Amino acid sequence: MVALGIESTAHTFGVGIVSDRKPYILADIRYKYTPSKGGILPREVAQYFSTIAGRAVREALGEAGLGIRDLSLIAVALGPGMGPALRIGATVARALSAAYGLPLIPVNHGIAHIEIARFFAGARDPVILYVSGGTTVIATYSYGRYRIFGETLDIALGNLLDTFAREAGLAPPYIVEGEHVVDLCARGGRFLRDFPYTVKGQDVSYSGLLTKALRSLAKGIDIHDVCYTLREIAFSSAIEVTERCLAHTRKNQVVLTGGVAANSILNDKASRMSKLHHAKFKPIPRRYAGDNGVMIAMAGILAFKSGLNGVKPEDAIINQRWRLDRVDVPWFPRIFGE
Amino acid sequence: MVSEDFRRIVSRITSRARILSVGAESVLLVTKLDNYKIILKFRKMKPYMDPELAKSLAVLRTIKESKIMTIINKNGIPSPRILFSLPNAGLIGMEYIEGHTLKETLEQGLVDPRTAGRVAGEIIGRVHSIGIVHGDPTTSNYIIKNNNFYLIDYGLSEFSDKLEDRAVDIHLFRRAALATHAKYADVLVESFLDGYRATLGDYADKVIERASKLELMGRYVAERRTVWSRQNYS
Repeated sequence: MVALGIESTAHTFGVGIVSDRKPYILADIRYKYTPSKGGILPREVAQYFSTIAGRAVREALGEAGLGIRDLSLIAVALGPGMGPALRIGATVARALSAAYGLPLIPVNHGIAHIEIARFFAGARDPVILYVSGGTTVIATYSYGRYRIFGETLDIALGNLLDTFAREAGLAPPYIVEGEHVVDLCARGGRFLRDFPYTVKGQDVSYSGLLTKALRSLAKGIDIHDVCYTLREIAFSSAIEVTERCLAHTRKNQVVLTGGVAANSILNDKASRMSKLHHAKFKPIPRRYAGDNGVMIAMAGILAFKSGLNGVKPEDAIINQRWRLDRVDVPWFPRIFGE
Repeated sequence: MVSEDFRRIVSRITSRARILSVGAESVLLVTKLDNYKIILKFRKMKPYMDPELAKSLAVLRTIKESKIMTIINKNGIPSPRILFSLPNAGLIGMEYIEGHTLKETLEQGLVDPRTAGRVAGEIIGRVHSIGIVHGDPTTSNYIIKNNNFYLIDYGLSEFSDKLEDRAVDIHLFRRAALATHAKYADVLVESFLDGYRATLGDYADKVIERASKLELMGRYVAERRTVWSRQNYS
């Protein structure tokens, strides 16, 4: 079985082609929208996606050495994400499905992140820390769904780092030689007292931390110290909630997923925390932490094999606020490739 | 006393203790004091944090927890009695309540979720009524011994009489119930709210109402942005 997955929830337009047998990943094409300055505007992203979407699909088929008739299904991320961006992916998927009579499988972007992490880490029932530009969620499986144990009450971890970097004049670009500019700036920094560490039970909050960091900069406090403290508190609190989930559920596996999961410092913290509880932690490849079409195709195959036949093209409606705990995962505990 | 002496005293206290459980916050040890079993709650420095952050969190949390436990005890809320506290060692000594967690008891079907929820809610109501919020009221933090319920682990508790903070407790219980007891979560939560109302009367409804708003603070909840609903369709 071969699936083509389309990802277009945020800044990356990804087309992945995946087989349910080795070597699994047949193609992985990505086009990333990078603004020359400032943040991401949904309309500009959509405009960019519309110009490269057709090319991305052709290139993916070329890389896989397949024709469109060799595909078994089309999987598409219908949310959550930015409406204008989601619509491009949805439109391409609907067109391919309608034109070639292929089953169309709607995929929740967050579920796809979880499934690719379970696949690479070989983790059947992990506690999941899902961290990206728009999401900070601690989730784990219970009774048919991935349930949200904790999350951010305000801004997401990736958003915290990016917003700080932008306001502090460190970005764009946000990533330099594979590392986030806040990480680079944090080198040699010292820990500052009196920055707010906010963990409310199972939730984290970052907006107070962002304000404090920016105010400290304005007061002339060393930027390396501010970056170090900001990152230290932000990562530690997310890992601490993950630890609470692990202790509460007594599970024995931990995975990181989402764009910020590529961060080596965060992986190191997750690994140290897991050791404390004799839990297994295996980082996923950096390349597959962030958004991609491969994970959408994987989640599509899992859903299809568990009996979801897909939706009619006209019913493939995007949902900008589609929470991952609203999605049944009947394939669980199966991992992709099994 | 030099810090060497301090360390020696702490290690004397902890030396013959055995590990009861390793939680996210702390290690619980059991030891004997004059044939009386006690719990030593030991906040270890988190090895994944900057040492200065880890140390300050451990000390500050120990101080706060000791104060709060003292007040909880004074008000007769069913909880372990605090015996002593050594904040610089991250250590609290308390009474050992030898029972099972509500989580285990529910999972084994040894307690009716309706009864359990009600008692759990009543206790949280009493905690709130004395100006304290628990901060982590999951089913792992209630102990049942001889059919009596005890609320444990004030490690994340705060002094607060704010509606918002009280709502967080309600919200946390509800979400923990959904995440770990999905099968009978509705009954558990409903009776928890009944118990809470029974303790706090009409005021309880204000807290409960705020708690449902908190659920909507999570990201991507559709109801949060009803204005956008039209854009949900492409």
